[in-house]
Amino acid sequence: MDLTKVLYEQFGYKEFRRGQEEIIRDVLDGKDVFAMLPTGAGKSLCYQLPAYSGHSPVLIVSPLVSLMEDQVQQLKTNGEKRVLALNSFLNFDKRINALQNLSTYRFVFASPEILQNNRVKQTLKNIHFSLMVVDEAHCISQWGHDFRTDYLKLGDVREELSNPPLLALTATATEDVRRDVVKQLNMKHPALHINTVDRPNIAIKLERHHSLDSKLRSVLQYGKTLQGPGIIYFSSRSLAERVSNKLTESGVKGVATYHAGLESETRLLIQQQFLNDEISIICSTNAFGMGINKSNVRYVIHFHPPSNIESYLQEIGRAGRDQKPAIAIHLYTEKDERLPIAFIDTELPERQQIQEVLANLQMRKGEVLSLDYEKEGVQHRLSETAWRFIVYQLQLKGVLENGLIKPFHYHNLLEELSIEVNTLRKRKLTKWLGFKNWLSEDECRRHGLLKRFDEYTTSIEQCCDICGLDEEQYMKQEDSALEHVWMNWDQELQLMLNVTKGEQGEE
Amino acid sequence: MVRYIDGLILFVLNQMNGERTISGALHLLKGKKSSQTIQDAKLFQLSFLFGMQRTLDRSHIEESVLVLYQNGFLEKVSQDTYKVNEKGNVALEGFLKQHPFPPYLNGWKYHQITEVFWARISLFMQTLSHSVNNNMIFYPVIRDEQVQEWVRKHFPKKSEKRERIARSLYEELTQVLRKLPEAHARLFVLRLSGFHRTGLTFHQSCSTLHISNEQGLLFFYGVIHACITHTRDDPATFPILSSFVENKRIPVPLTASTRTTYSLLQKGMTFQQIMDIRRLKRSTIEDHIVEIAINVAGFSIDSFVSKQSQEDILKASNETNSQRLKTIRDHLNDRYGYFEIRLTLCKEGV
Repeated sequence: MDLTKVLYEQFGYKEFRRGQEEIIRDVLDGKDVFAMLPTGAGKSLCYQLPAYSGHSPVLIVSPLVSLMEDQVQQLKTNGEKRVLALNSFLNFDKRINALQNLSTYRFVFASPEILQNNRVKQTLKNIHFSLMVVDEAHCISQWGHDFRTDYLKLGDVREELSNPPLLALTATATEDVRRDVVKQLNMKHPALHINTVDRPNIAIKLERHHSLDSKLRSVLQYGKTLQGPGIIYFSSRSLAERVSNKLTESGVKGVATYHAGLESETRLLIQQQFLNDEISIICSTNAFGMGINKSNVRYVIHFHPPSNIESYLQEIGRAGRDQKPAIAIHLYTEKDERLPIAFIDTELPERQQIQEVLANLQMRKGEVLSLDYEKEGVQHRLSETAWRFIVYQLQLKGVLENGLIKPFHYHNLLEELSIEVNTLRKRKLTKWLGFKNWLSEDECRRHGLLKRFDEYTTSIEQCCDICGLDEEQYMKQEDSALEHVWMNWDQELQLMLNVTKGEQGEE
Repeated sequence: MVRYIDGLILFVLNQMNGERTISGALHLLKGKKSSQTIQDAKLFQLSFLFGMQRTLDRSHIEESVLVLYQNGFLEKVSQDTYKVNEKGNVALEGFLKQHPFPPYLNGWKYHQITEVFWARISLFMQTLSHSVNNNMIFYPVIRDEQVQEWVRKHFPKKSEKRERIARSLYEELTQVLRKLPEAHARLFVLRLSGFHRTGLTFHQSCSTLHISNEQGLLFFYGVIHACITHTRDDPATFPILSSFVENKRIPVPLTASTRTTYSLLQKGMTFQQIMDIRRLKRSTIEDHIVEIAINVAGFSIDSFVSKQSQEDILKASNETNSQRLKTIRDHLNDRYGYFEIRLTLCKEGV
């Protein structure tokens, strides 16, 4: 089959990006495929193109509702009408209606939770899916960070759907995670496509500072001088806001803050403004970026470190998707290391909290427990992740069955859970240390990142601050934010609705 | 007055006349749905500000009170309770002259349909703008499924009709906006998204106009409430704006528990029977009845307070120039209970 022709006709691209074609060929051959493609390398094309080559309908399991919505919206924007998202946001009548017409869809997106609904499962069984895709497949691994037992059941779901070929997609997965995913999904002799995590067009710079103040001076300087659009990552909302305000005060145009504390309408508008080049700098927590498909991001600055190398690669990978030169700058002070450690601790329950939860459950055995964080988790002062972790463990150990609280041995369970927490903490700390070591090394930055994925790099131009870097080419040439010329509200409305005053009275 | 929020708080405290703590003011501006807050809104003619500052929190209001106090605008009545003095009154007058409230603002009446009106009009406008400018590729600014469904259903199918609708929507909106202060209209239009630009976030629109978020909120709600008011008064002239509030009867805004009490009353049950059936305290049912009296036009309170008692109470309120229950009760030598006084004061003027 001439895949390039389909690529051009359906997507308007002349050629494949690295890794895509091989993956697609194996998918078309009906093989199980495990594919690792770096962020920004065009993962979704790997199932979209097969769908347009006769392998349809496709079931795509996506862990994050926001991610799912973005993909659905992108397909729709490209003119695809036969796309359906099954998630809890659809009201029930509409869901049933949609289910009955399921066979008319080309792409069906579903969350792992919705696939546990019997009605959904029954309907899906009657459809012959040509392909099942698990997106962000690293989430399935028990080493993943999401603690949702419904992920672990995806293997069974696949079996019930009469075993369609399976494509597992991820951007970053270490060896142990890969093995785990393949096992959880019952993949048979999967074709492995492990592509390099390297993004050669992104230069890497590490900048060490003595104090927060000097870091602040540096980030402001970069914000003023670097060619945008750019993203600056923070781990605190207040600092993100502070830097955003400072940049605006110093005359930089089109700066906005983005974090999970903003209303969803605001977040959506800021995303759109950024996508449309109406603003040029986003000061953000790590809430920003999932599913953002913007090709011309010219730099990513880390004002604070993420807690592991996978997150770091994912975040810098949002730069330079157009394959043009981009730069990733990490600002680091010794004090920064407290942040990831504190973050890891808030994500895990303390022993005393586990005691509290277990004592509470012991009194309530036979009851059905609401798994809702707001209802249950909050009262034990647990973070949402910590609450999910406990529920996850209780489900795995059979103490919670469909929400029903079964009898259990308090002390044994407490010890078991404490061991699980410690294992996980150790694992997370190890990951953080891996990244922290990178921050203190003095060898080629790229080499340092790649060796952690058992990869090696060849020398490239504009590699990193160690290998030598001409920073001039990343400096501002032009304003990247288009400024809208505002007239008065009346003219603005006329423009918006394409009406002219002159026509008035003619009708 | 330096900050808008201080002026707003000064206004609310003045209306409350030293008879409520600052918590009362906070609850009102945040739109807390408790009987007490709803009664206060009514008693002190503050209904239009109900829920119009939802993001306000305790520390904001404390800061404002401190500023006002330091400026010598307030007298302390008791812990957390302040009365606006002569100097404060002068300042307030100046503030209101400089910043009159948006003419159509009506928080209590419209708070339940404000959000949906905005969601529908902004998505409809975005879709229409793209459509009449021949570009249907865009990301919807509203993700809510129900709103998207609504727009899909109401969006004209034929392109000639779309152009007609665009012109009518323009006419309807300008008719409303022209009656409003320039800055209010501007803020509203800045927030809309069209084919040529993304709408500004609320915060961005306020910075563009160099006003505080608190003031911006009142501008914004003021425009929406103006639209809704026009559709109520004259739906024939505003068919498109009317459609944005269609199927959204403004429900009699009762809290859930009060609604139950109300339906039992309608079935002819007595106060005592309702207490027994619902196993609620007397004071709770009393709160419900006050809430019903405030919100249900034509609800008679005569079976709870006799006509004569109502007259006595109103007279006492006039003589003492107070809405404060304790003052009135003392003035009447404890002849009437708080419930009767409260109910009478609330019903007055409905």
